[in-house]
Amino acid sequence: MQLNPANYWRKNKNWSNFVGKSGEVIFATRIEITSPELQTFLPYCFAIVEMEGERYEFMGEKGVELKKGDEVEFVFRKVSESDNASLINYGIKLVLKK
Amino acid sequence: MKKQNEKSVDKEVKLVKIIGSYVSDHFGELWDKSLNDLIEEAVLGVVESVSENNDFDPKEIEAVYIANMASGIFNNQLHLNAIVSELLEHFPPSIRVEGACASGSLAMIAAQDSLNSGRYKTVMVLGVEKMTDFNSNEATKVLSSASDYSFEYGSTFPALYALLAKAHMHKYGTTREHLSAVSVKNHRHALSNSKAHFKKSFTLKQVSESSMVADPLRLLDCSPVSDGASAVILSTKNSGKLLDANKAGGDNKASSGEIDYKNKPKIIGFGHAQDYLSLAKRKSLTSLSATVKATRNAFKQANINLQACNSLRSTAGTRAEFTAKDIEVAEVHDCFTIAEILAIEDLGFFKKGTGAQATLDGKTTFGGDVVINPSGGLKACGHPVGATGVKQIAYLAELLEKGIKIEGDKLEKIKNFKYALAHNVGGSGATVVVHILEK
Repeated sequence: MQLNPANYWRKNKNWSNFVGKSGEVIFATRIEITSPELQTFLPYCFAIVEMEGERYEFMGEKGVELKKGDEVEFVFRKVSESDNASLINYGIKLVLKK
Repeated sequence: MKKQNEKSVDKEVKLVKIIGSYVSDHFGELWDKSLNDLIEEAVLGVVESVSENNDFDPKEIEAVYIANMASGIFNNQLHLNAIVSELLEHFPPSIRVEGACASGSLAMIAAQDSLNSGRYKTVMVLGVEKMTDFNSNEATKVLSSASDYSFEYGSTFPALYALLAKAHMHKYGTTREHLSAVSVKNHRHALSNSKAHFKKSFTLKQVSESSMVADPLRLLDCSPVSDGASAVILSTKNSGKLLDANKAGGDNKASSGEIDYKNKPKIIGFGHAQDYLSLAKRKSLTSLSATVKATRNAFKQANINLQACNSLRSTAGTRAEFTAKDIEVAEVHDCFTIAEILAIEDLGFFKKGTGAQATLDGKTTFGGDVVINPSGGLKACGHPVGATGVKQIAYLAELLEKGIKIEGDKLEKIKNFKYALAHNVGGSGATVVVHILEK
């Protein structure tokens, strides 16, 4: 997903709903093959998480192993590689809650 | 009231027949064939499938429905409806249909609706995808556009089905061996399909030890990236030669080779249902509710049609309810091994939670309860995305007409079938189409 200016203005309004909050992993998978702009993050997990009664899907931070029942925190991180002329592609990711 | 019922029955028994079918010489990495080549081959192939034994003029094709997911990205080519129409001398009206991996069956439904409404009497449905000019990582990116792009970023299709597999394993105790059994069986089936992408058998151990893609799904759990095309010609006519002199401009010659409509495979029921695109919004992760709904609708329609036909054919009374138990063979959407397990449960062939063990026990192959994916399925026959839904129908139509050679105790014998089912899924289950065919 490329973060062009239009995408940025649409998406940035929602980020504050997640950052710093925590949720629970419902199911997670560890991805070892992915699309070119995500290669640098391999291996990473992708999970369905529940927060405040709602379910969402997010990728985990590189190397973070997630499994069912883990408590996770939503963080703001780079979510794909982009070229030098594009906006840096940020979004919500998951890390294990300390 | 009685008149209304009779009218409704008349409407329901206008069954769509599959009078011609074509599947690419074989699915696979067809490096020497372009998107346009595949489309042209399918048009010529399906027309020839009707005309080889009958007097058939392509002008009888009143419209073409072409299914494709991503030619705009894979091939930088859109406007496929124009490309396919110009291959026919009379430039029939043509429409492109896209619904991810369910594009083919959605095109079928659009075509059937046009026939059932009476707008057309004979149409062509063609599915095509040219994928292998992209490497597998790039193709993964293109295919991921069939997920919820803003809600599921970072996901891949194997990852979404891996989550479904995890849920099934957690709830029903499905194991690695169960998943492998699907792959082993479908690769074995593909050995007798000359058009299959892969003609190689694997053991449970080989599948279970293939490289990891998205835990628990491994390389040999995944359907391949394939090129291919398939097509069918559908008609609601009941008798007579296909060509109508008035419509064709009066330049056709009288013919003797009439099409035997009565013995052509018929679509007796179909269902189409939708669900949330995102897995997180779904009520269940161990069942595709769109499959359940589409199946219910397909069997409901099949029952109406069968009862109506029986009442027209004889006064012997109506038959008992037609259910999944009557289906002898099915092509189901096994884009990943877990997808076949979900499908055979949601379609009603096996109780929820028992499909995996049934597969391992040999109940989904020849000699079992129901033959699932005799072509090899998406897993081994191949998955040229836009072509798959049409290929399932084309393959089953040929199977119903000609049967399939199987190895008996001593000699090869022909196994014939009366009823077949096709199940085509878009994405991770947001779109599902089920067709029921009768010989």
